[in-house]
Amino acid sequence: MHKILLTALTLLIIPGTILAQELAAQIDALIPKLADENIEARYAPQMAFRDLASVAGRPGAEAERKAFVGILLERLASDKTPQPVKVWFVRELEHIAKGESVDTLGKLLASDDVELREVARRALEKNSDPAASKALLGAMERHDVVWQSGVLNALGERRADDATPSITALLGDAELQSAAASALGHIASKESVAALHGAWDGAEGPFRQALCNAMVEASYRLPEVQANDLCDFLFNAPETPVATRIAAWTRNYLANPTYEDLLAGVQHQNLAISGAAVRAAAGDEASTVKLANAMARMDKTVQVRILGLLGDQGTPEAAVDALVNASESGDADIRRAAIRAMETSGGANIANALLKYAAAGDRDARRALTKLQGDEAQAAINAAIRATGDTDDPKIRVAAINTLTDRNVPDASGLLIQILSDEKNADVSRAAMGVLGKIASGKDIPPLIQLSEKNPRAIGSLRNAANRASDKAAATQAVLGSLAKFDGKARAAMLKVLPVLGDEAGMKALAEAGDGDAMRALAEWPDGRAVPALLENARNAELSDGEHVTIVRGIIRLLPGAKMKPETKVANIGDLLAAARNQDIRKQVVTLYGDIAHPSAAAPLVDVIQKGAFKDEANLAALKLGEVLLKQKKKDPVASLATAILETKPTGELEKKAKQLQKRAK
Amino acid sequence: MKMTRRNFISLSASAGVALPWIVPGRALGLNDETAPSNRINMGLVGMGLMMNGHHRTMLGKDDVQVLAICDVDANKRKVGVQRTEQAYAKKSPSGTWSGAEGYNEYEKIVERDDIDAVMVITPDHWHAPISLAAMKAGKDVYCQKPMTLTVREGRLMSDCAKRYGRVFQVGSQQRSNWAFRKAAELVRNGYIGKVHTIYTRLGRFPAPQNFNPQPIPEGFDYDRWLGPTPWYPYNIERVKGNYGGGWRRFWEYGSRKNGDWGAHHFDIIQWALGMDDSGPVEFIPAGYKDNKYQTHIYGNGTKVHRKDDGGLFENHMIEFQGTEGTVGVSRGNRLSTNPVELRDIPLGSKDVRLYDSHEHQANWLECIKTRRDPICTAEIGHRTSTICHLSGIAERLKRPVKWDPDKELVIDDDAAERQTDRPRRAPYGLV
Repeated sequence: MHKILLTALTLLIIPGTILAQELAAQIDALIPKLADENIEARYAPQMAFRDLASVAGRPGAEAERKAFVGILLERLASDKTPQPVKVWFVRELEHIAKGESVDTLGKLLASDDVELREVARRALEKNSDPAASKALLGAMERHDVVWQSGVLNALGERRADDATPSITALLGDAELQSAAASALGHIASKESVAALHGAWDGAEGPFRQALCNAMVEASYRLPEVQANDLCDFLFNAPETPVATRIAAWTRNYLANPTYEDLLAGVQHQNLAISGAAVRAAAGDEASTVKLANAMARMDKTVQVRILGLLGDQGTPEAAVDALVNASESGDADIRRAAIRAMETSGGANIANALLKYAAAGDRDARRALTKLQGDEAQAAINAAIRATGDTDDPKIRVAAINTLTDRNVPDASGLLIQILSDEKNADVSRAAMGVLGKIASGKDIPPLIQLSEKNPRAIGSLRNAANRASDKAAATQAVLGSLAKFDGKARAAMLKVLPVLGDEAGMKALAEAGDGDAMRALAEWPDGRAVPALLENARNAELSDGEHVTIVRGIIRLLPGAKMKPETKVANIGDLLAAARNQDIRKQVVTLYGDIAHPSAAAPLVDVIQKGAFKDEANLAALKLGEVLLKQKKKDPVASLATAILETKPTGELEKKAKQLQKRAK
Repeated sequence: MKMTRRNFISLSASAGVALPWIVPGRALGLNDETAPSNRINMGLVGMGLMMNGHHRTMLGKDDVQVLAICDVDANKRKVGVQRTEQAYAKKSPSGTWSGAEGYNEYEKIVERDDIDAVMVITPDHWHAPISLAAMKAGKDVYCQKPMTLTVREGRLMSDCAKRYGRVFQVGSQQRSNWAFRKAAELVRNGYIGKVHTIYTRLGRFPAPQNFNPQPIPEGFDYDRWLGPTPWYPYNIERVKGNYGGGWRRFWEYGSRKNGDWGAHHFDIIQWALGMDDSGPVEFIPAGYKDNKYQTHIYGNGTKVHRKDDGGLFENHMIEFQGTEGTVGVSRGNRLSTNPVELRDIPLGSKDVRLYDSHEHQANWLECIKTRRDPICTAEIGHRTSTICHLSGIAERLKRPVKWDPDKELVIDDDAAERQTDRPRRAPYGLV
């Protein structure tokens, strides 16, 4: 590519004759390769040729394009140029040729070579010179039906008006009449449309369809009066298929939209036409409003479709009452369509209607409530949440509260905390607490602590808020500062907020507290910093067995990932084994040796194996440790681990793996 | 209330759940005043790799009746008919059912008055001819992505769907996925600030190549498989439909990876940027001057780079970079954000909410009944496909292509403009 670009740049600054010589040399060099007997070998030169053509055809290089095309035309006229080369030359002429190429390409249309004349037809179809149409028209009568239909397509694409009489003559040809009709539709002149009209009577099947398609196509290109008459004809002719009637109606309506025409279309007895008419109102707010306000008097299906239109576009203010009325319909389909249309709307009226339906259990209404847009809708929802009067329905309040999970309302958590501070209704409280847990964040921690003092169930929301807090240190201080106000289960729950925050001050406070609840919380710490304090308390005889097990399991979870020297970890495992109160927990501790990827873990593990107390767990840990150490190329400890395992006389898979380990350690 | 057309659209169809309401057959108004039943009578065209899932899904829908199968390979056609009949036989009280017809020519499905809708799951070069014929005969259409082979085909198809009042769904099913919708909503609503750079990875196909001729297998209508594309000798490598190459590697039948994964990911990018009725203004091929990656640029300067060498945010398929954050999104409902809190943030009452569909085919079926717009209309599919094709044209020309998305014309490059459509091999023109 760079070579070609460089060549192109060079060519820009050299005189025309030399330029042509240079191009000719490059093209001629490719000719034998483009005709290589091995078809697969032709691909690379084809791409190289395409690149040359692309450079020659670039914007602002007309002289170069002319020179390049001129060379191709010369080669195309020569009998010496092989057929595959000519095909590729013409394929590129499709993209860059202009009037200078028409004569040569026109001659190729007469070729007996099907491939060559087809690429020539394509190139002429794309040629901007009007003479190309004449060349194509001249080739219409040649060859076979497939060829003729290709020429017809090309003439149609070119909107070759002069070809109309010749094409019209083919409307009576059973094999070509559909292609002819299509071409006449593209030409879309007064004469071509008259020809289509002339073929209308008696047309059947695919030809009837082709005439319809052509007339609709022409209607979008004709002057307005003619187009309107043509579509009136299509719409009213008894032979016209309904799809074409829709297209005819739509064109005429959109060209001159009046509400009277729209209403007539919408109320048409054919529901397919009616449906299309409803859709034609899309984007026209005034007509949409009129339709919405008139829909109650219409057929049910039409109502559903108008409601669909409102749903797709959003409901204009002036149609809101009609939408709300429809949502109260006794017909389930209309009601559902109305509620679904409300999804894309907003405003207080719609919000209040949806709250009522949601409170009654309507899932579509609940969904729509989460999507309502605009400040007015949100204000209505907030007002419903605050409505604590005797006549206010708690179910509506619950429905309103539940929307806050899926709506990004800046002060939503504050509102819920405020409600919860003295809420009397249990259902409302439950809903508010549930939503609060999902949306509370760091800024809510102080008021949530206050709320928790009154209602310990709020501590769950506090934990969630702690998880989302960005300033963990400040949140920790707030929790620590409040601990004195909690006791019993509430204090235990508050302590478990501290590991969620993971701040150093919280960890220290738990370690210093040292009681069972604090240790339970410490055992949930998110990282290995808690290991020393937990280990210290694992030895605390004052703690219950349950608390002891919780602590040891906390260490087992945290130790492998703890940021401390491997030797320290190994020592900690030894200490933990000594502190563990029963065999089951010791078995779990032994497995930890397998998780310390360091040679220092080998000797104590061998010792455990040799003592024979936890044979299965120790052997598996030894295998795991051995594999890791082998990757570190620490063969000596691996050998001792493998020997220790084999001395326990294992069987089956364990024996096999231990022997493999031993072999690899040599 | 101020409205915008697409921003407010939100319509769902829940996967695996019965449609919320079935409009009576009379109300469907499909081909005429009466429909034969509540069911949508379906024709399937193109029984290759991609149709497998669609076929299975349609056979499992109670509101769909598959009546016609079309493929140019007699064996695939036969298997398709058998599979259809066996599936319905299992549901039939008599244990038998034999109402599916197989066709070599799609025209025979289009001509049937009892067919309401057609799924076009063929190679790309057949999408427009079949879809246009079907819509003009009054059928609703589900068309595999990319919607088109050329830019002009897309304009024709979008106009046709509007003119004929058809429900047309493009198979860009990523739009019916939570993560992609959420990503697009975060970007659209400015949660990561002003988006300046977007990366996406599309992968690569083997280069196109010429193949030596092979005998055409019996029962395979190769001429019709080629359809409107230029004639080449048959070779199995040219026509096979595997994901790693086959016909997908050739420019003649598509836009290679730009039309393959690009049709999915560019589509999501268009959605996120609010460009469903517009598009980029410039396409730069990889390797042009200092451009390492294929790039397209929107009018506001936002750049989209095709970065196939990896390194996207959290190894995602698409990465949106904004002045205040990053969003990454992939298949499998994977969504990552920076800051992380954005991932689960609900939308505010003033935020744009995008069309909410949970299941792409069900969304189409529901819209056939309600006549509402589906989630990925022909206009959307056309605008996305335009990106695929113009990227391909720039790649072939090895120079940037400037584009006017309003006029839908290449600016000052006749050779590029000519390639926005392709002449068609007779007798396979567009209707």
